[in-house]
Amino acid sequence: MDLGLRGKTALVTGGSRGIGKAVARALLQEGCAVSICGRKADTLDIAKRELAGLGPQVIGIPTDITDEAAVRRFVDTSLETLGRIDILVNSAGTHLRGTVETTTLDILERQLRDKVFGFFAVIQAVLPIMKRQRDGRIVNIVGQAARHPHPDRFPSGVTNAAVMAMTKSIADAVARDNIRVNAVCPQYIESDLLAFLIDKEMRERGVDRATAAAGFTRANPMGRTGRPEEVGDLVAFMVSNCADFVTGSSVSIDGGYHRYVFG
Amino acid sequence: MDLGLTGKTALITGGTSGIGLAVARRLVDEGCRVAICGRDRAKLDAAVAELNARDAKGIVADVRNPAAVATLVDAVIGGFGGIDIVVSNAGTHIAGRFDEVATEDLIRHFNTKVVGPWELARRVAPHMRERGGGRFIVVIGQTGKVPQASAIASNIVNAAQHAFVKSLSDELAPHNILVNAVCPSRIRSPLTDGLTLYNEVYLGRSLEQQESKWGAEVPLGRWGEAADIANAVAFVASSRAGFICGANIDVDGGHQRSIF
Repeated sequence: MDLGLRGKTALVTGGSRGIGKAVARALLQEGCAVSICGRKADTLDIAKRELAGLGPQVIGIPTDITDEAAVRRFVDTSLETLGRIDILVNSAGTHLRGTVETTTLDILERQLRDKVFGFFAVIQAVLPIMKRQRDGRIVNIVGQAARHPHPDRFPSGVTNAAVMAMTKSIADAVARDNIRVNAVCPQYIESDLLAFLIDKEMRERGVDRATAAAGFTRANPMGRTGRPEEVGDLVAFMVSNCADFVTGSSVSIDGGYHRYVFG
Repeated sequence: MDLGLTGKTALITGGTSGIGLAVARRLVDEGCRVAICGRDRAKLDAAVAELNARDAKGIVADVRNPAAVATLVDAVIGGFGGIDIVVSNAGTHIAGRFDEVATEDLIRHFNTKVVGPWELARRVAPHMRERGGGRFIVVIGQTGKVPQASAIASNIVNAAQHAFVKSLSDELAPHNILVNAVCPSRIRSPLTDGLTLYNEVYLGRSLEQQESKWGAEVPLGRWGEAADIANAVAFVASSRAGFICGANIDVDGGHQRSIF
């Protein structure tokens, strides 16, 4: 299937690791020029070297997306270097666990700053550019904690649900400008984040790695974890010309994990 | 993107026109061998001729009839040596308010769109399990998520299709048979030719949206084409979508109103 992505340009936040890096790889392989950002310059450099040569061009700009000025620099520099911005994939951010009792305001605020304010800032910065182009494709990576709350994933649940509301609202607002906004909702993907969570389970519950890992694979009907590249492929489809009529939609990629009939 | 569909075999129900035919065409383009079914021999022959694919098959079957579904599945397996992909697309749209739809029509509708795919799954799942996996995709009109005015029968039956998809996906996932849905609305097809959307203009819209005529037809400001649905079906059927299960993709120009 020709996705029609050759010659397009894409920004991928959180593009130095895990799902973000896999998204960058998929878009490069489809012929996009890609600008990635991440907090740490050294991690970003490693990713940039790894991705170089897979597609037309890859640049990396160290950026903390909770810093509005840094976000503006990321978007402006990307635009100057790449000439246009057709695609934005928001993949930055983390997953903070905790119950309603253990979550401090600080923790909740940190999670909201990353995923709600951070996503919002990048979207707001690219919208005028996409409006001028009369074309834009935005995908937010939203953890399934949005659809599927757990008592011990309180900050993540609240935050991801807010990102879903933001995604749909922005999709409505910019539909007539031919800008499509969608969510891709992964769960149990083999990324640094999952490795970290497995380590955490081992530590906190005093179980071995196999037991801790099985807790995650058992949690979905397919009985396996997903790969970052699988999320990359779905994102590539969602931002492609082949999904021209898809906006305000959220697509689960979770091996059947979530329990919602209409999701 | 290479979808890895070359040489796969697909059965598309309701494949003689509109979305079903577009799905068949797309899958043929991606290298699949396809069988389509429909109730009318003449339409079926015309559709197969239009597909212009070397071994495309047209099989007359009414999916409301369980025996016919069994014969259909056997015929496709016999003809192609196996089925990798099923796209359940048969079924129409019933207009009318609660007191305008005959009970028999609701039952007929349910039989086409729920009992039909149910029987199809019962017949095809053991075969796919033996082959190590497969894909089962149901095309569910968006009235399943967004109840449309004066279409109560479709609203009920399409919502039931969602429950069917999610429950079936749970049961078949351990066998690597991935069940998903694609949800169209605002697609140009023979089915929507005469459809008036007037009653929906103000459905769930804010005052600002009503005044600006936002969503009078479609939030994106244009109608979609059957090919848009076919693209989503092809992606979900592809080897690139190996971790998507019990999910659905809205292909509706932004029509549906839930944030999820």
